[in-house]
Amino acid sequence: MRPRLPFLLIGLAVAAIHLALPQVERFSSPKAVEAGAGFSMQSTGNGKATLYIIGPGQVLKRDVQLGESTTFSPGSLCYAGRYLAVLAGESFTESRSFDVAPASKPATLSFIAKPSRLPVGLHDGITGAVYVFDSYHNLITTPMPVTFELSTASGTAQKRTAASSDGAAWTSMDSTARQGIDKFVAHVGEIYSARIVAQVPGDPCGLKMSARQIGERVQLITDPVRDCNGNAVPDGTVVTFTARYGGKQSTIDEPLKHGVAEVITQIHSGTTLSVASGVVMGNQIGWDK
Amino acid sequence: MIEIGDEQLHAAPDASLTGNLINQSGQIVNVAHVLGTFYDKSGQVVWVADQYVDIALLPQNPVPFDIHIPEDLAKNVSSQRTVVATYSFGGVQ
Repeated sequence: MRPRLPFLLIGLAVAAIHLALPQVERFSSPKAVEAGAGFSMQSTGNGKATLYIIGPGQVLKRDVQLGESTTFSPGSLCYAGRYLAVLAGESFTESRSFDVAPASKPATLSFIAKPSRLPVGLHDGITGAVYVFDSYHNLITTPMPVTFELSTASGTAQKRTAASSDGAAWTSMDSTARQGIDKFVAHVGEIYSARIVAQVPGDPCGLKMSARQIGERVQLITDPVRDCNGNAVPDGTVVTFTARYGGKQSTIDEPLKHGVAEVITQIHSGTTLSVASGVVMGNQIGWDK
Repeated sequence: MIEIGDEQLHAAPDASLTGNLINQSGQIVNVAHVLGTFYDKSGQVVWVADQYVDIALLPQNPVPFDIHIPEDLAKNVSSQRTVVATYSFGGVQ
């Protein structure tokens, strides 16, 4: 029993010394790397090991000579996210985490413009949202100015600038007073993306009809039907003529043709005539002939 | 062009919407579908009903229609809007 005690004491002493020594770092990794950028990792010691880089959608493996620097060429790590570097030697395994951040230069924009077709003269009727990506399609989350421009065929433009937040920027625009095809463009630096927005006439405005006798019948015809901004309301828009006489009502729905609606019908003297299109009321005529 | 003439709402009992379809065009209309939408005093829709008239519409010949309104809803009906959709062999009017 006696000879065992010195060995036990020696063992405890070695263990205490080992615990007291600072942990040796076998390799160092950068805290953060920009996506697509080259970088290196320095290892210490002697011998051979294997370095694994594990990240979102990507794993790299390199044979490493301990004590030397391992270089990763530009484009090695493309996807932004949290990565784990593992150095595995014959008698040790050590790991570190680091971040790959999106590249700072925008390369593509995802631009969503809605709607693609709307009536003229709508306040905040058009919305545009932009997502900013780098050349590896990582969302760039650092704020950057995004310029939105809505221009008409005649060249007049509305311009707004918004700073992106968490990779996204958005704005709203008024539809213009003139019908036509407008171009909606989002810019970030040199990068841009364009969408087409069609602006169509709004509801009829100042709807007016006239009546005249043609033989035994009466012709009811509207003036050219326009919206409140003077745009011609498209052919096919239904105009309703209503006649009220003796507690009864007659209606005729007629689509616009060449900008006007026209009907020829029989009308009793004493009839009240009115015209409407959708919810828009026009004038009223008392027919006494 | 179809005129919906003499539109009248009839109260219960036998509540209905009646009227005439008058073909103001010079072409025979083979199929006519009348759709009545009934509103209460606040303008809310309370009932929708329809009818196909069973004869063709000859020019200027009034063809009557009669759309039944359910008894329990008739008391709520304050106004109506009637539209007619037509089909002519050889093309839609």
